[in-house]
Amino acid sequence: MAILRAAALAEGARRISGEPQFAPDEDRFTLLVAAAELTLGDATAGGARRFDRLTVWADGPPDLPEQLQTALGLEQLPAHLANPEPPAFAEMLADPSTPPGLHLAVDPASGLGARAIALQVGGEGKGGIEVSGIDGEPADLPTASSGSPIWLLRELLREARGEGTRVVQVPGSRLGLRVTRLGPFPGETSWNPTSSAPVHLPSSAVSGNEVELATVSEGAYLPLPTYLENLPSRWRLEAERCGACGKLSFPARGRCRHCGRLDGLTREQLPKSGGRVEAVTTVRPGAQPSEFDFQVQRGGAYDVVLVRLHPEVRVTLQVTDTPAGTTRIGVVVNTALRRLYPMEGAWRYGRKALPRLEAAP
Amino acid sequence: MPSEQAAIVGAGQTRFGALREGPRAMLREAVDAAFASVDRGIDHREVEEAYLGTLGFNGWQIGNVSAVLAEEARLEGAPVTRVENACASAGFALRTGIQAIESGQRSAVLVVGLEKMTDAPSRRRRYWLGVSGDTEWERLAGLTFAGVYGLLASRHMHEFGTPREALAEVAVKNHAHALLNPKAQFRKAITREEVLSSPRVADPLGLLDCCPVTDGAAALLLTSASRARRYTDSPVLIVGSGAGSDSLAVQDRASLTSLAATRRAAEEAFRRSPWDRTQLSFAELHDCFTIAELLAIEDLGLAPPGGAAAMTLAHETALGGRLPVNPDGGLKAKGHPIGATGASQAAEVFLQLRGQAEKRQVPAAARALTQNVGGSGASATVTLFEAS
Ligand SMILES: [Zn+2]
Repeated sequence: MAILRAAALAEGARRISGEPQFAPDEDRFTLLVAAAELTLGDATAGGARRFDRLTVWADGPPDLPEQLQTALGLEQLPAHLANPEPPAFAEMLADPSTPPGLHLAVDPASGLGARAIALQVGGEGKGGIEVSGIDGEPADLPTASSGSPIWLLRELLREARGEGTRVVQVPGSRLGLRVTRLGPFPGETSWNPTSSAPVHLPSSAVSGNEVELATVSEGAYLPLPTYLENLPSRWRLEAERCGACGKLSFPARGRCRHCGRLDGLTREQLPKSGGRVEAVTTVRPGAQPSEFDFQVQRGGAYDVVLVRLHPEVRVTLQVTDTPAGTTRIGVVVNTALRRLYPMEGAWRYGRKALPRLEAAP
Repeated sequence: MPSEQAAIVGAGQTRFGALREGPRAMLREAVDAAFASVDRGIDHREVEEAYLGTLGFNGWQIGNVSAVLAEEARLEGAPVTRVENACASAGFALRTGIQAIESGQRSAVLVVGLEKMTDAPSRRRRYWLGVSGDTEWERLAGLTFAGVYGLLASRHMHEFGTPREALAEVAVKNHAHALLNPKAQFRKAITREEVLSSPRVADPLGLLDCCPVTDGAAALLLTSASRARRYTDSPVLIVGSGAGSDSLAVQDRASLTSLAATRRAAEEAFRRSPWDRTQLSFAELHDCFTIAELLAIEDLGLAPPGGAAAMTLAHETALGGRLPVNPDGGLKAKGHPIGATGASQAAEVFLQLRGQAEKRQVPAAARALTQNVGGSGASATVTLFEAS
């Protein structure tokens, strides 16, 4: 029995700094998912493990367990939020009376997703993975459904529109969200809420403590319901296997793209790791879609790759945790759930590619 | 077989570039130029139907833009339909016009392409430049078209050893051609070194590998071939028209080094043509990025897979070469007003096949091909023309 330090997850960041660090596109939600994926053995292709329940040791939002179920493909498991005081995982592992299940917890020290832990207890054995670090990086709540804090936030923003409202993550707040009317930032001549957002992020926001969540696109974008429609494919790379022709379709759209059958499709999980890069480009500042303006202002250029994740499936992924311009064709990549961009009051999430350490140049 | 053959009896276009004129004035100028080019004249009331290719860039008139063309072309109630297939909008508008003539339903139609792109702030422009890509996967990964073509270029270079110099040579050649075209946006020669050292946009593509943002409109008057002689002794005959489609996102395509839509369009166009690929006098290809011209040359069967680079580096595609490509400067240097490009390509063919292309005239031009691509290859048209 051991708690494994999640070196694998942080390898990209370690490569740069030598210290565990987390990227600006990570937050509490993505850390929980990453820790759980490692525990579930996606990265190591471990044997099938069974869990009886999903316990999320956090103080909300109420739909956090549901979001995690979607990201992890555990919709069939009973899931609930537990006492936000997280258990001592090492003791739980040692205690034979610990109920079996997958336990995910948020670090109690910060309450803002500074630490995520996934724990497998029961079944064929016990084990767990702890992901630690993320100093000073806030975690935005990943939910967008009605009644969630993000939804309430959006309502507040609607009320406050036109008065230079900015959303600020307040350290120490357990929900971490409060609406504060700050007006324009220094160096910003005006903030026009009707302009095509996202609004320019001033240098004071580079640390990532403040993000513009009120972005509303003007047309060429992915509307929220369409984004939500396909979360199993976006978040956990789920494809469909056709019972008639035997071929694989990705993303899963309820129809075989090869023979057109609507029935006899079975869900199949694409490998989340071990894909090979078939094509690569470095998107330089100015060539990004406007949704990524905030990211380019923070971090400059980024790489995008076409990855062969399965003999039948190629996927377009942005590269993260790796300096732009260093990804090469033929490199092997893993994938992780990360933030993409803020839109309409919530972060959009999707998989990104992380070149494997041994394959990096 | 079609019951009629289609022919172009008139063609005109605005200058391409950052124009002072708004979209209405641009439409008027292109249409008037097309009417004025008809040797014995044609009354605007003879136009039975019109097709307008446009994306509607910047949201100037997203819906019902056809009515604006009806007004500016004084069509007096004749039906007008907008055709939208991104950068191939006018190519598909032309195809629709050809089909109307060939089916015998219409005997004279107007085909117009239009885009006004420079009249909005750069941020909004960038926003609109991305509207025709796959929003669900490519855009979500942070790609616009430059990025998508950057991916295709990286793969082509990897598989075929295509040198950056060959991409650069496409830009050098098309700029040299545009120098001879008074309608072109960039009338400035550039060197291979300038292309190679231009700021990277989406590696391996640099700024000078990319087509510019352009205003422009072009118009074509089509009649049945039998009727064409009323208007001119030298109509340009349409001997083949093909089109194809492909998945929106590149990730779903079988090949990353070929556009299947172009291949399919070419197969269909040549199936009917009385002559084959080896007999072309020149070609107008969709070089939105330099890599796209190489892909087109190979997909059209003008070079074997991976063979377009050598052909380009040997100057075979330059004016004076074995098979001139984009004598008007192409999208790269003539400019690429999205919805207008397909019509402008045909307008160039009209001049060339009638010996009216002046300094950029392809000697003894008799047979021509145009290829117009939507986005990164989700749609494509190929049209074959012949001098009468
Ligand atoms: Zn099937």
